[in-house]
Amino acid sequence: MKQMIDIALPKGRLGNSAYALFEKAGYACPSMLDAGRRLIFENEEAGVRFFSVKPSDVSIYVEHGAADIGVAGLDILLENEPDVFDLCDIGIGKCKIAVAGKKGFHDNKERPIKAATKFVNITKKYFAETGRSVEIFKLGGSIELAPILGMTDVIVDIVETGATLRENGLEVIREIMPISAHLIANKSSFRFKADEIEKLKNALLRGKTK
Amino acid sequence: MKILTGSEEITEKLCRLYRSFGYGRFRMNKFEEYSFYMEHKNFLGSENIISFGDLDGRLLALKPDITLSIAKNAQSGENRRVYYSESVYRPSYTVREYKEIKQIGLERIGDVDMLAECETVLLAVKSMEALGGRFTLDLSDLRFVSSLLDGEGFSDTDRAAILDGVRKKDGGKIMSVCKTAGKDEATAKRIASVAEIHGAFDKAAAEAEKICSSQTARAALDELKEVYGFLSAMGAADNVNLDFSIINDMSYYNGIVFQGYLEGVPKNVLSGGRYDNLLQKMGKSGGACGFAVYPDLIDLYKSGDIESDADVAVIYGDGDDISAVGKFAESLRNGDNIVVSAKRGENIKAKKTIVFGEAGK
Repeated sequence: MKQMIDIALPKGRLGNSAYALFEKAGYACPSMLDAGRRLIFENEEAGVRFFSVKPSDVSIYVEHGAADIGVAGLDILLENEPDVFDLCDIGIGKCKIAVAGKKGFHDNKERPIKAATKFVNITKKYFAETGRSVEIFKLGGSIELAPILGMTDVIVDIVETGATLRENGLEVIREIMPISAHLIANKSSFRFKADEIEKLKNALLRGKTK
Repeated sequence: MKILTGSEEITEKLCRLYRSFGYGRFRMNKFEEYSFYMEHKNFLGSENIISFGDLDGRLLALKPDITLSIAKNAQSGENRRVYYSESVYRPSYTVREYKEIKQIGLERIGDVDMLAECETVLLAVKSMEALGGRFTLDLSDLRFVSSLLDGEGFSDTDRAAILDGVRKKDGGKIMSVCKTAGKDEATAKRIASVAEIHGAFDKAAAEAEKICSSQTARAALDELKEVYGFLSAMGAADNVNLDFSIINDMSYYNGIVFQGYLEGVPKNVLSGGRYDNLLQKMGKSGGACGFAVYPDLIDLYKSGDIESDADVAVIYGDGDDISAVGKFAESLRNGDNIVVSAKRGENIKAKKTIVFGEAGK
């Protein structure tokens, strides 16, 4: 019997681009396009089973073996630090993590800088590396509001085009790092399905350069 | 073959195996001085230890590890073969809270020659076999990986980043660190390729040969081959792989390291290696190697749903003679689980229900 590979994809735009890449690599699953309320999609012939989960949960599904492999943004990997193999950058979902503040923001170094973010670990690490003391405010969304309402000085967030920032009178102060989507694998699954996973990885990489 | 679940069953089987190789049971105290663990926190890979004050004000810790205590109790020049089955207290696998975690394992300390090392790995293979199911035991040698970086003039930060890349099989990260450190494409590729080496031992060892360029790497690879040769001769090499992504702290481990994976369990259920450096850090001479098995992980992921609580439920009523009920249940108890219950409504799911008094009618 063919060994199935369970694949966790992030819901939303990144997941759609990732699925397109799998499709191009020969791992199509036509029922995905007709999603409705279904959560799991299978193509037995291609030996794959996809499921879409919240982007920040992909690494959890993979680390705990519910998915053999998954597609996760580097931001999620750096934030959650899951114990998984980080097999390759698949070249989609390119953006950056940056520090942003109100236009013309001047950092008052006499007190800790106040930063709002979803990415507590990345923020902590960045300010520790730059030697700046920081007070972190963890938020779940609409991060841009925090400096506008004066709750924090800056935000640390994903920036794609910068349009949301501009619309809200904010600008990038410092880029922290470029981000893109990575193919990750469970360390145990990789050992039992190494050939299939390697084959899939190589097909994805070929599709990426096409 | 059925996979063993239930820590007790696993413990019993493994302890019997270790005794059959002449290992004796090691029993230890629940507590150690907190400072002892903090001194060796890199060996533990974590600073999360449950500490508390003793009545005399000393700061104690609930043991987070067994190997450290066994090494501490070892005398220089003494040969020890010990196994243990103990609880340790560590952060949980899933959420941020402490858990009591079971560890079963063994340590060989003192004059650890090649045969002793081979025998330790053989016992690791036999432990994995004893658990049942499909498994792999992956071997690596820290000297092989570190020798690739020696003499390249990497800063400590770059070195740590590269080793992290190897641990995650993240060739892209290794390439980028090498390039930022000013290495040429060929050197970067050679270093990154070590992360890709994995799989069936012979095939992977042939790949390793291609980047084996120093005496240290040669010695490490030869030693791995010797261990594999021994396992082959013992008929225990079928599921043994080579995988250089297994990286433990090099200030403690100094040679072969290995991890066991069971299909369906997302993390390694066995981990071990050669750790002469730990003894030396404690000011003791001699070699040491050993491993630990984590039965709780197997329970967590492999124990399926149970279909019933008992094989037979015997239901009795108010007027029944309790001795007769007891004797009747006993007569059924031939290795089966028999539960005696006062009324049907009790929340017991049995494969078969017998109403006492109606039995035999």
